[in-house]
Amino acid sequence: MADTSPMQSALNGIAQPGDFGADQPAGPGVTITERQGLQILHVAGDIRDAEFPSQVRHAIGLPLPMSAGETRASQGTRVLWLGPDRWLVATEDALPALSDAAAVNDVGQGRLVLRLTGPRVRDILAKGCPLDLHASAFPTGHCAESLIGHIGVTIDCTADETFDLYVNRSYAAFFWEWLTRAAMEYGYRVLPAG
Amino acid sequence: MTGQAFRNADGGGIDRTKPLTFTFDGKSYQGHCGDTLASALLANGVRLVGRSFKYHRPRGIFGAGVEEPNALVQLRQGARTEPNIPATRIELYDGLVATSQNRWPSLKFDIGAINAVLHKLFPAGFYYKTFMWPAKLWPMYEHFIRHIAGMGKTPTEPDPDDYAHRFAHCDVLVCGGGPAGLATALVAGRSGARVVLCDENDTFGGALRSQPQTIDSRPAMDWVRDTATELGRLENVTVLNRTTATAYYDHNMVVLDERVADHKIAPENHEPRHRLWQVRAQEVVLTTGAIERPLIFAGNDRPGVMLASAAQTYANQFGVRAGERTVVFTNNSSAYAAAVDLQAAGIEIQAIIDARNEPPAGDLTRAKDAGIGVLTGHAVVAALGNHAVNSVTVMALNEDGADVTGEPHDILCDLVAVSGGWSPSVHLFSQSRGKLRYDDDLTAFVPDRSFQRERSAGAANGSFDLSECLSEGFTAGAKAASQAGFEAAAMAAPTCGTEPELRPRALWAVPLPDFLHGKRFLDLQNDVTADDVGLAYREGYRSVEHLKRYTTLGMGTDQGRTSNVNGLALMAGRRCEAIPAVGTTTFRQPFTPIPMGAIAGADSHDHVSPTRLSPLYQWHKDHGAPFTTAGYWMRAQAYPQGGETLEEAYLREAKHVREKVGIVDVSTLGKIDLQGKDAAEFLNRVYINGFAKLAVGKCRYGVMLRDDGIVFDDGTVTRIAEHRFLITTTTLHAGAVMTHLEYLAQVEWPELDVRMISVTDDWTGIALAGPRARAVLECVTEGDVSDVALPFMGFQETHIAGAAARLYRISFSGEQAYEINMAPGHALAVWEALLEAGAADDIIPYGSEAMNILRIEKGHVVGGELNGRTTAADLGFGKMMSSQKPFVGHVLAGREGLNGEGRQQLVGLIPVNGRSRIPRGAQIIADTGAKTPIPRLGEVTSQCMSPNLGHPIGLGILANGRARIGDTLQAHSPLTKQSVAVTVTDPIFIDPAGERLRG
Repeated sequence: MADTSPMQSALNGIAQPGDFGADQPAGPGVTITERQGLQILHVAGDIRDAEFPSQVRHAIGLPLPMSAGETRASQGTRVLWLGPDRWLVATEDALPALSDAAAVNDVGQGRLVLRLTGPRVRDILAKGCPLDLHASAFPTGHCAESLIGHIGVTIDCTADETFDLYVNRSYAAFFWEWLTRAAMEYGYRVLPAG
Repeated sequence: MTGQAFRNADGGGIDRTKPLTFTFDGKSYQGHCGDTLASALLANGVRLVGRSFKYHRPRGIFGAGVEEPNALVQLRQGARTEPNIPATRIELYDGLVATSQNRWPSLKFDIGAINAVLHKLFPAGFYYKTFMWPAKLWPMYEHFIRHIAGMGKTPTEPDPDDYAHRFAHCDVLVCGGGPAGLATALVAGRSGARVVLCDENDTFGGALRSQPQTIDSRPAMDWVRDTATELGRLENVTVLNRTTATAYYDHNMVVLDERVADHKIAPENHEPRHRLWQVRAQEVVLTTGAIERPLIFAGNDRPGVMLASAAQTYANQFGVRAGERTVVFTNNSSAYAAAVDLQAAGIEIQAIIDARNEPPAGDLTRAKDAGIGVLTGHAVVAALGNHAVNSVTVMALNEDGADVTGEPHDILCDLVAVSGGWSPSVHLFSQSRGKLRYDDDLTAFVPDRSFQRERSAGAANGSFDLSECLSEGFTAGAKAASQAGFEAAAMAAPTCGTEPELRPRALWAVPLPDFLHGKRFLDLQNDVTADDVGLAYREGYRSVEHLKRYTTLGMGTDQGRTSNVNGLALMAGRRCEAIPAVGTTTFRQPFTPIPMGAIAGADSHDHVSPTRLSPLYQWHKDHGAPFTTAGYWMRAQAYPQGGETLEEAYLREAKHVREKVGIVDVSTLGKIDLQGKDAAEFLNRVYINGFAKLAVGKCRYGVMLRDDGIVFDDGTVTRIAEHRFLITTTTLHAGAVMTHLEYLAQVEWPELDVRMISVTDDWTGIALAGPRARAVLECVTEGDVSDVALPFMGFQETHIAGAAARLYRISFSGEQAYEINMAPGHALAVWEALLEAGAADDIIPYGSEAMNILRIEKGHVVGGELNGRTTAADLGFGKMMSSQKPFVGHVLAGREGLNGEGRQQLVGLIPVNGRSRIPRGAQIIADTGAKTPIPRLGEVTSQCMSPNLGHPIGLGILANGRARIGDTLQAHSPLTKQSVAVTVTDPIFIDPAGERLRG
């Protein structure tokens, strides 16, 4: 039986599209979009297990990244290394079916996913994230779990000057406030959720 | 341009085409773009700018930078006002408002100046000696002292500005943008290393801004500008002006305070006022320069007595004459250059008084060429005047400097430019735990051994010559870059004009001749005199740390930058020891004061700590619920209807749930998904009770212990599938339980095949409770929820109101109850569907307060009972503890002290009179009239009014509690002075047989 219940975003009534903060003649320092409708799975398993890595690869069409901070990507799908035995799979496609070899949790609705892009994105994140976010230390294709503004956040650099942030839903409103306040001095644009 | 009588027509780095208007003590003045408040005040002939801390003596501007001890002002008004800001550090802006401090009713006529007349009553340690008795009056004394010895006033309104924090990482951090710092940054920057260069001033150049020199036959400031421009263009170099490196911590973490908007009337375009940087650097280079020391003589605090380098700075950098006629008093060579510059700026030089008997020939030639007379082997013994100096008395020094001899001469002057040598700014070096060395030739402490990956260069390293500064900078930059893994090309030091060596004569305080009175001030900010050091010595405060505390030498906003070395040298003299044997006091963070706002950053107001919200938060808010916090969570307390008080509302709700039905948001409970072939075995080891035989589709209550045998947390465990469980935890322990389980899985039992993640945010929880719960549930699901299909402690995966849901038949209230978990996006729809479907059954929403009442009525334990001191047996779970298997805490739970007689056990409490509320947190005692100390038998852990029983109830832990059931004891709160007679009962007040929840 399919879900017939209406869905609600964590930012419902909080995020309004538009331009905010400092006037920047060159355009906003960062553009923020809530990525809705993303399917997100938390996948855990033992890579020494004969079946697990190959089954996951078969199901999602990507090999599991094996080193710290590594990601794998294909059109519409990203796999993030979270730990030696755990990964995050985020996809715009239908949820892949994974066998019992993996411990899987659907965490799509439990996460707020924000895409931040723009010339000041690293300056804004560096206000609250103690990691080295410089492009030489945190290049495109790198991910990490860290703190931003005291909140645990999964950070994924998806492209040049572009980051996806995965925030636990209960912190969404608090984090949104932190982020938009941090972005005030650089100017920010909120696009409708997509 | 009017009024700037002491401003030269040309010269200096100010922009005379940009006049700025400001007020000081209500009077309007003009200055220029590029001025500091200090230089603008001097340009306008304002020399009296403050009153001293203790004696309320008139004080003027003494320095030109961070060393300023005197000229502290109250900057701005209203919410943006800031006290104790040195006028020398305030960049002038149009509309600036500043007032003087520590004077009443006015700066010129200050009542507090009577302290100066009564100075014999106010020796060092005066407060300690006078206000010791009676101790209980100290708050009154303190209020009085704060008023008299106060500095500026803190703002009373909230700060309207934003403050930002910023993390940064780099290969080479360079602190100080003078010649050595620029040279360091240039070499390191060209190597490709990531470099951060900061300087506290608006422009780079350091001392070169005020001491004209040449580099490769061009003005040195041309080189400064070229270098700063190149650094600004390098993508790998971050250049920060108006940024003070203020604290140096372990692991090369240095805090920088960037004053983003302090030089403006208000921050613009959403910029923060300050930005506090936490920089983690591979290598640090300290190029923090040096600070000139004063010379100590009677009346050396009068307005008009000034550091020679400061007078030189006002002349060269600001085109301001700090006086008309000056005496230059020095013990080293650097003041000769200052004297020549002052003369060039149009100040008449009466004489150079040089304490040295035989100054280097070069100095004498320089003075002679400029037509300046030099009196060698002499000293200024006193500066005379009242609100400003008008003359000095000069005498000859004897051979060892311990006495002055011969005829005193008076010389008229309105400015005394003093130089007592130079102290490298070793503050950051010392904070980094580097060891100092005393250099006899420089009469100063210089960096010796580094403790962290750090090096000093230039004047901060005791190298004052410009070519030395540059070559040390180039070397330090190359070494730092190469240590950080970059290849730095060697750079030849350019040719510079040479400056003579300092060659100072140690002269820590000019002796006071018998015929003169007057105070010789060591520490101008704290009014500590040379004689106070003698007093401290006589009274036994001989360690420099004791000297500091007893006299307050080196305390305050300037941290003794101009006074510490003289003070400890005088103490060394008293102790007949060498200066290094006496040592220095500890250099502490911050180097210069940081506003509290900068430290708080964005973590203020509602962002002091994170907030977690349920997906139903907005609904609760829209329906008038007040909120309480549980950890970071905001929980709806109750839903007051039509003018109800909060208490009326939750009592109504708690009664309604037992009579009819209600729903409550339980999203805050911790939820952990546990999977793996060994998941059941893992749970068996974690909980005191068995889980191996729990059937799929069943829930079980479990208790877990800490290693030491004390109860850690409780909750339910549901077997979702053969190798999959859902664990719930209490709201407050969710994080700790997750950490505990991860630790066990990863460290203790890595052989077990288990994976876990917190799914608290992935499943919203709604509890549906009350005699009509099933009736409501049947309206929103097509599944079979009959007692047979879903008995007590059963579990189903189903759909509720169209949303995929997990349905647990568990009860915290003791009623027929279900917990519904669904994905958070559907939570609001399900919540509203339940209310709509339950309307016929008179359903209500209830909040955390009613939930708490319901659980107290059932004797369920939470935080107050799970207090880190209670065992499973204390709480009545003794029989749950399995003897068939080991579990965490099993061994230590068997300790003698945790068992047997006298343990405090969970009991219920009912007031004997049937109406008095049991005091919150009360102690349980036998007899309030007993002789103290009264034996404490236990404590009240939870209490409430029970609307279902019609009288107050409570839970408590009580020594031998179960044996005392039926006894009458006292619940006594010394805090609220309440005492209530209580009867000890079983902790389960309602439905002890559990028939309602199985119904």
